[in-house]
Amino acid sequence: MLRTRFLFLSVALLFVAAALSGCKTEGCLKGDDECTVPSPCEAVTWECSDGFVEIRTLAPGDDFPGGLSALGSPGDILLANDQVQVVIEALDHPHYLGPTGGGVLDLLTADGDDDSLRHIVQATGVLPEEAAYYTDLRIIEEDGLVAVQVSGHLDSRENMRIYTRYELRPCDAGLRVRTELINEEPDPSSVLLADGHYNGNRQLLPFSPGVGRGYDQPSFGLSTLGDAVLPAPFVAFGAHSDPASSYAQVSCTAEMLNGFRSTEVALDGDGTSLLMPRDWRVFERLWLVGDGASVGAAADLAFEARRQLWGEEWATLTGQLTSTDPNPVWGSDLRAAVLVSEGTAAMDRAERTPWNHTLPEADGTFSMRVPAGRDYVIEVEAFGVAVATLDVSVGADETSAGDISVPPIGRMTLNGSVDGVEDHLQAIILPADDATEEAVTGGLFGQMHDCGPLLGHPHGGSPGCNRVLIDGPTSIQMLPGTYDVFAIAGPFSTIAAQRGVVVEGGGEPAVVELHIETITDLQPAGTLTGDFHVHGGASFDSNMPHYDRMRAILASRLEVVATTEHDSAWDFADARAALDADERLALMVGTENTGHILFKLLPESEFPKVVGHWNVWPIEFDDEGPYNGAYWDEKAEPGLLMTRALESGWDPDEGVAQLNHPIGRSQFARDLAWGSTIGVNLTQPLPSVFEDTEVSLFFRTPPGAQFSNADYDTQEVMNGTNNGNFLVYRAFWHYLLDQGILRSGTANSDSHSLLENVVGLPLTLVWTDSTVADFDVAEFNGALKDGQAIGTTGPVIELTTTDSAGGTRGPSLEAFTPGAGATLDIRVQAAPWVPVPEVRIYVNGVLERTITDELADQPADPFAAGPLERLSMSIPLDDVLAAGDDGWISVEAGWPLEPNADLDCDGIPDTGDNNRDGTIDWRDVEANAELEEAPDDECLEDTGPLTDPEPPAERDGSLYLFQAVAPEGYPLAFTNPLIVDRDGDGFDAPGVR
Amino acid sequence: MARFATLLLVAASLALPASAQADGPCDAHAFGKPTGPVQAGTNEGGLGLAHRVCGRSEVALDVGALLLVDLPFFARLGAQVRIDGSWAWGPRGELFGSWEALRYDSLIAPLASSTIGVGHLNVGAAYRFLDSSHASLGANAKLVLPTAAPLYQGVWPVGIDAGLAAQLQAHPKLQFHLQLGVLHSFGLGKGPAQPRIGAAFTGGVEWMPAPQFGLTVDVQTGFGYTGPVDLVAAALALRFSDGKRFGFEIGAAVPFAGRERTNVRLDFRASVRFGPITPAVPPPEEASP
Repeated sequence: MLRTRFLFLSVALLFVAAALSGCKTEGCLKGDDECTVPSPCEAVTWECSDGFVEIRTLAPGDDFPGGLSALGSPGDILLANDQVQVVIEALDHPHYLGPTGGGVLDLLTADGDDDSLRHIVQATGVLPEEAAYYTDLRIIEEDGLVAVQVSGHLDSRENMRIYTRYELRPCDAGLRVRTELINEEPDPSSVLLADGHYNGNRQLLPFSPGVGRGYDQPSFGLSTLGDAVLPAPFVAFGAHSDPASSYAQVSCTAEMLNGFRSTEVALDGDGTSLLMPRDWRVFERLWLVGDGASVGAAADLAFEARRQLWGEEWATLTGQLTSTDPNPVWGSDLRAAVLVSEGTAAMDRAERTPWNHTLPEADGTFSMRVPAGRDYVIEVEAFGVAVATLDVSVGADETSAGDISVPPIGRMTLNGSVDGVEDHLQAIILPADDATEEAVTGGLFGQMHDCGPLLGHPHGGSPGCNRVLIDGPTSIQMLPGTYDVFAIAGPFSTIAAQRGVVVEGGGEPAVVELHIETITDLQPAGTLTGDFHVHGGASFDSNMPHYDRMRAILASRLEVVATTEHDSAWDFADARAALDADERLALMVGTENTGHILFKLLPESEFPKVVGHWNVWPIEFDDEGPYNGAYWDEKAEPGLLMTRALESGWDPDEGVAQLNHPIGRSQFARDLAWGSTIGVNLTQPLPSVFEDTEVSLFFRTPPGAQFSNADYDTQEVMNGTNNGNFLVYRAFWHYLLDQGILRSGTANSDSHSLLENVVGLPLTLVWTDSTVADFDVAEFNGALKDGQAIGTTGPVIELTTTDSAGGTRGPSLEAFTPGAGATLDIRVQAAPWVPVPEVRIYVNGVLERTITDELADQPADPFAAGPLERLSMSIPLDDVLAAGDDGWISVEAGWPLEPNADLDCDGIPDTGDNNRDGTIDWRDVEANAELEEAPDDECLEDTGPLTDPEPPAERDGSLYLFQAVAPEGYPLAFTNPLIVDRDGDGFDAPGVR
Repeated sequence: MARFATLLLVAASLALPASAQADGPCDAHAFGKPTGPVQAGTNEGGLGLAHRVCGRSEVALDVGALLLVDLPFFARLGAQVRIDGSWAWGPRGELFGSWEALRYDSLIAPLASSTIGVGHLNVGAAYRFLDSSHASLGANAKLVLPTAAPLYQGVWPVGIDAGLAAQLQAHPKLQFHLQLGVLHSFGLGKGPAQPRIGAAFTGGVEWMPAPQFGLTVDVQTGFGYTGPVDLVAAALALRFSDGKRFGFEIGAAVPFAGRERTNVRLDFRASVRFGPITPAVPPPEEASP
């Protein structure tokens, strides 16, 4: 009886449940197989004449949408109408932060090849398991609309279902998007159902209305992310390059977006909430596309969308910029930009609410939308400096601010030549006095890098920041002042400098003559200069046009370049040909494997990580491939990355796999350095076998891989013009050499634009039989992999000795037996502008000798073409390496290295004498600023920063001149090792010190 | 599991004397001290939580907390103020209910979120159908209503459970309790109903060294509701009473196996019993004249 009652009760309940589960649903919330997500943002309509819409799967040979960031490829889906084009990536074409395809890859205007978008993906947070993992893609064509619906779940969470519909209708000024998220997990989850907008760090600037906001967005870390989540009526993104699209995101389901925004990534949705089991969220929004730089065009569309959605009326604010310039050239990105903020000029800037930002037309007029019926302050910025401010009240209708007088600017003409012929060189313009520096230093709308003077987008083409590429008379606009202009054409040429006084208004432009000579005897015969880590606009964190990238390379006088775009590839052959430079430069297309998606290296790993950055070259460029010839490089250990390269056509015999910047920090919680990822401790030997620890991954062959993680060929010992981490990279390289793990050391610029790292500084000088004219990829890379190379920012070290057969031996990973009485023959040369105060000899990683007295003085005339030789000496080999001992020897030359110590006991230098008290201890640690007494632990938990050589206090001296053309750098060269095997029984490595 | 429970009940029944009118295990709980399974559970709205066999009339204020730490990126903190009430319906029946008058939930993650508001309401009934000197057997069921409005935005979750329960007396100071139940829930609204059905078994021992104090140790298990094994948890409660109408319980449940991610559930409950009671300590007799 009892059982019967319970059975009855259960059946009744099931019946009720079944009946109730048939409640009217919406879209895919119930998860029906054939469900269709409803049309998003029905309340918004756009009008136009002759509107149309189309959708198609991109096929080989199609005319793909273009632009610096365009990545659409066959298999991706193109939605287009009369206003915009959108590329939704195929599911098997994931990019960047997306574990699968299904994200927005390209977004641009209908007529322009102006894609400036890196990637938009759906996510509910910032963790890997909070990204959408789409498993199904469906094309929807209905009367008057086209759409793509992708469905799946959150990564690794199959019970967190997610559906997104991308829709376009005729006349739509942007993409309509609706995402549905359903929690069928048994636990609640904290979600911000949102679009993750990957800005890439050096390209798109986010802008959001809000008190003190605009382009100023709060910085944050993983633990402070919640504090950075702020409401905004819309969020816009400006590329500030040419050609460019701008973008604006507007929510259709909530009055305010909530999210965080940075130049790296932005995540905006309706708001963070606690999502209980069986509960769901829907997020509808518009992604509006404006034409041109800045955010104005997209923001104007956002105002109209919000008027329709939320009844927020807007009015147009117009104005006319005027200047006493005889022929003012408006409309360029930096000549004038107009920011309008709610408030008054009397208010503190941080209390105003920026609403819009735009560039004037060529005639100086500007027009932008703002909320109606409020008081505003207009600010005009020229070349990073605020030059005009005006209060204005805006009513319900169009309001004119009238004429706004903007101070005149001046002009400079740069004439340059190399060996008397107009040729490529790079100019760096510096303020010649403090007054000019103060008057002209600024950032791009207060963002990115401060430049003095700011001539163009810091990460864009020429002029960029304070640098200009010259290949003939070049005229630029700039703020008045007194400037010193320097020019460089690589480390093996002279440099040029001339002062120019730029006057405002109609005066004659300042003309500077920058004439450089090649120093023919400096680069040793039988060598080629190379840079194996160079980025251009195809990289997510570069905004540099391909043509200007090639001009910069030609200005560097590099002979071999491996272009290594992040997660992608680009072939600069067209740009090289267009510049008639095929005979000057050998190009190898490569890629930099750059982990974005965090994953656990081992099941027991506490934190998910990525594996650092790895360059692979040459690979075959495929203009139509989803990664332009590169391959998906996420969720893989290095050995597997090399395997994927192999499978995509990379030949490991003639190609190179390189470990980039092996030790270092993380950026946006992504590990940049493999050595740090696995937690190497340089005081302990590397485990030779995998033992379920992260550090023992070094030699592991990952499942499915054909290579061990250690099967790379070269390692960066120098990276970047400032060499800020040289001591760290070198420590790791020495650590490996000490254990007999021989990898060739390289020196690369890692240049992304004209700013920061100058391409070719540093460079790798490779002793090779190959030539540019008859470039043999296998031979050249073979020599490089064998360590027949030095790295340098100026000094040239020729290090030789003799082997037992009487042959001459230079740096190489091939061990040799030295001849009896062999000497270490060291010759150091450098251009007169490169100071070389000391030469250092390292034996088995230990500084054996510092040579200073024997060095020649730096030439009196740093602009001359000679003399070059700074040192020529021979030292008995046995004097530096005890007779009978095996060992390795490396020589360095250049500026004295700053003392830096290892305070956390991992064998890696981490802290310099930052308080300049003569000792390196806890007091030098930035994080210990609040401490009053020494921590108890002998090995400190917090360390750093490293100390670089102090910058010159005055605008003169040899280091000032060097840093004028090699910003923040110092002269430095290192050789690959001589591997000494005394008795010919194989190199007996000294072991970890 | 069902077969095992059946055997258990049969064995208990065999222990009954021919007449079930004798004093039974429930007579040891004729005052305010709480009895039965530990009242710290992990399911929403107390779904599937075993109920006492020995019914009573009482009201109680219950403050509960829940903690889940899943390093490095997730933690959950929950707290509720709950009002419980029950009414003894005749000598064997009981109607009961519980309302989360205030509920706070916080998820600690890189993007954290929290809610505060009213929580679940459940109503139920229990009936004790067998009593003997060594065992009491009963059945109970309850309905969890979708009243946690701030917590749910798009779904109305409903739950129901039913169970067979036993209270066994091995010694005047030592009793055992068991419950075998089924639980079921589903969602109402535009989202998925996602009906879930599972089984739950709770067994434990109550040690009462003194009338005013008791120690209860339970094993809570669940199967098939959210996973093959929902949880296996150890639960412990310290129970106090003034020997009259007031009762206090400090309880905790710690899941140690199964899918359940909660680390610990804490419960502090203060109750007042109504109706006829038998004080644990008889009032001192008046002095003879």
